[in-house]
Amino acid sequence: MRDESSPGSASEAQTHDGVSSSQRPRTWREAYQPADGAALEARLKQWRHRRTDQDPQIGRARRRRWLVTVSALILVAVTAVSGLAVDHYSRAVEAEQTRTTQTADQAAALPQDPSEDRSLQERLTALSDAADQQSTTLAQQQNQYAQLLVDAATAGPGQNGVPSQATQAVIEHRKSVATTLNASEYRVPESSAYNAGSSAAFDSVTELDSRWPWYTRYDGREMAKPESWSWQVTSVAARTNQSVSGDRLGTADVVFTATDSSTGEVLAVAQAVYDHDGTEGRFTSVQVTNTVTGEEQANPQDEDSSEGQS
Amino acid sequence: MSTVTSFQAEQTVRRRRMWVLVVIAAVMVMVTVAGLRVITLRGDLEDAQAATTAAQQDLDARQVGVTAAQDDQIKEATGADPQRVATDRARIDRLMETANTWDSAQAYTVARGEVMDQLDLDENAQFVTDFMSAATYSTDGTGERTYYLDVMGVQSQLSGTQVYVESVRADQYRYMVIAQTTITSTAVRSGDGAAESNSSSGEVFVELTMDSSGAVHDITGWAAGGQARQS
Repeated sequence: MRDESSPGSASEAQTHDGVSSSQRPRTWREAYQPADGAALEARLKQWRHRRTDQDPQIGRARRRRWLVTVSALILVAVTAVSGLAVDHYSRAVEAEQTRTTQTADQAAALPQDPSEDRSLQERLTALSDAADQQSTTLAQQQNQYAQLLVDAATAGPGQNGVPSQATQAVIEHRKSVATTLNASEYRVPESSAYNAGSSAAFDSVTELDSRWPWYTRYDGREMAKPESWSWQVTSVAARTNQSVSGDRLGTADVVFTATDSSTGEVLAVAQAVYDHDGTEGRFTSVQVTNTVTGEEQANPQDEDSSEGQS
Repeated sequence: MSTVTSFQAEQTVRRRRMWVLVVIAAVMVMVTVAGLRVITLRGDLEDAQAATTAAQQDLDARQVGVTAAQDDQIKEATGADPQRVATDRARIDRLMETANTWDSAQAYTVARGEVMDQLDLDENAQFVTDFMSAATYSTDGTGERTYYLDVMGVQSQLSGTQVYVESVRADQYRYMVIAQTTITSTAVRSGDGAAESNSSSGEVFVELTMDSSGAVHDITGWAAGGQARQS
C-alpha cells in the first residue's frame, strides 16, 4: 500500500530490508526498525534464555525472598486489620454502653410517679399568690401618688424652707413604695431620696427610680383628677421553666397598665420582674412606657399658648 | 562431604519451612480468634444499641409523663394550660409579624388589610383606627397620592414579642402582648438632598382574647409614645 502511494518508498523499503544493514544508520529514522511478531518472539526467547541460563539457585532464592516478603506483608496487614477491627468494635460497644447508662440515669433521675410530686404546683401557686398580692399593693401605692401629688400641688411650696405637709406626705409615701422594690436599682441614692428637693434627681425621659410616680397625668395645665385614671395589674405570669433551689419561689413577669377610667384607653404600660427568695418578694427591672395618648397628657399643656399667639 | 552438606542444607530448609508454617499457623489462629471476637463484639454492639434504644424510649416515655404532670400542675397553679398558651403564642407571633413588618406605604396597607381579614375587623375597630390607622397621604393636582410613610422612607421590623396571660375564662384566653419593633426612616434631607437614615426601637402593646380555635376578638393596640423609662 505504502509502496504505491509514496514515491520514495522503494529506497525506504530497501533500507528496512536488512540487506543494507551493514551500513551504519545515519539518522534515527534509518535506525528505526518496526517490531514485527517475529522480532518480538526472538527478543522474548533471548530474555527467557538469559533467565534460564543463570544458576537455578539464584532464581529460586530470589523467588523465595519475594514470596517471603509478600507473605510477611500480607500477614502483617491481616494482623493489623483484625487488630483494628477488634479495637473498633470494642470502643463502639463501650461507647454504646456508656450511652445506655447515661440515658438510664437520666430516666432514673425523673420521678417515678410524676403526678404524686406536687411541689411545682405548690411553688407556682405560692409564687403567683405572692406576686399577685404584692403587684396589687404596688399598683395601689402608685395610684395613691395621684391624689398626693394633686394635694402637694394645691398646697404649694412650704414656708421658710420647710416643705408643706402635703409634700412631706409624698416623701413618706415614697418610703412605703420602697418596701416592695429591690434597692439595687434605685437611681437616687438613699441619702437624698427622701428630701423635699430631690424630685428631678434622674433623667425623667429615659430613666426611672421605681419609688417615684410611674406616670403623672395632666388635664391641660392642671394635674388630672386622680379618679380619672389608675394603674391596674394586667398580668402576673410566673416563669414556669425555672429550676429553683432551696426555698426560693422563683420569678414572675408582671405587667401593669395605667388606663383612663371612663374609656379604658391605655396611657402607660409598666413591666416589672418579681422575684421571691422564699422569705420575701421584691420587684426589679421596672420599665415604664407611655403610649402615644399617655405621652400627650404626661406633661402640663399651656392651653392658652396656641390661642394666645393668634 | 557433599552428602553431609546437602543433608545440612536440607535440614536448614526443613527448619525454615517449619518456622514459616509455625508463623502462618500462629497468624491464622490469631486472625481466627480476632474474627470470632469481632463477631462477638458485633453482637454485643447490637445488644448495646438495642439497650440504648430501649433506655431512650423509656426516658422519652417518662419525660412525656413528667411534662404532662408538670403541665397539669402549671395549669392548676396559674390557671392557663401551657400547651394552649404555646399554640396561641405561635399564632400571636405570626400576627405581630404581619402587623409590624412592612417597608413601604403599600406594604403597610397590605399588612393592614391582612390583619383586618385575619381578625375579621371592620374599619371602626380601635385596632385599625388607632393602632393601625390607614396610611396617610396627600393628593396632588393630578390625583396622584403621596404617602407620608414613603416620603419619610419609614420601614418597620419586628424584633421581639412577649406574650403574657392576663386571664382565662373557659376557653377564652386574654393576653397582653408586648412587641419590640425597629422603625427605620430614610428620609431625604431637605437641605442637601442626602439620604439620612434613622433607626429607633419602639414598643407596641396589644391586648387580645383568643378562643381555642385561634379566633381573635376584643383586640386593642397601643403604640409607645416615647422611650421606655428604665429603673
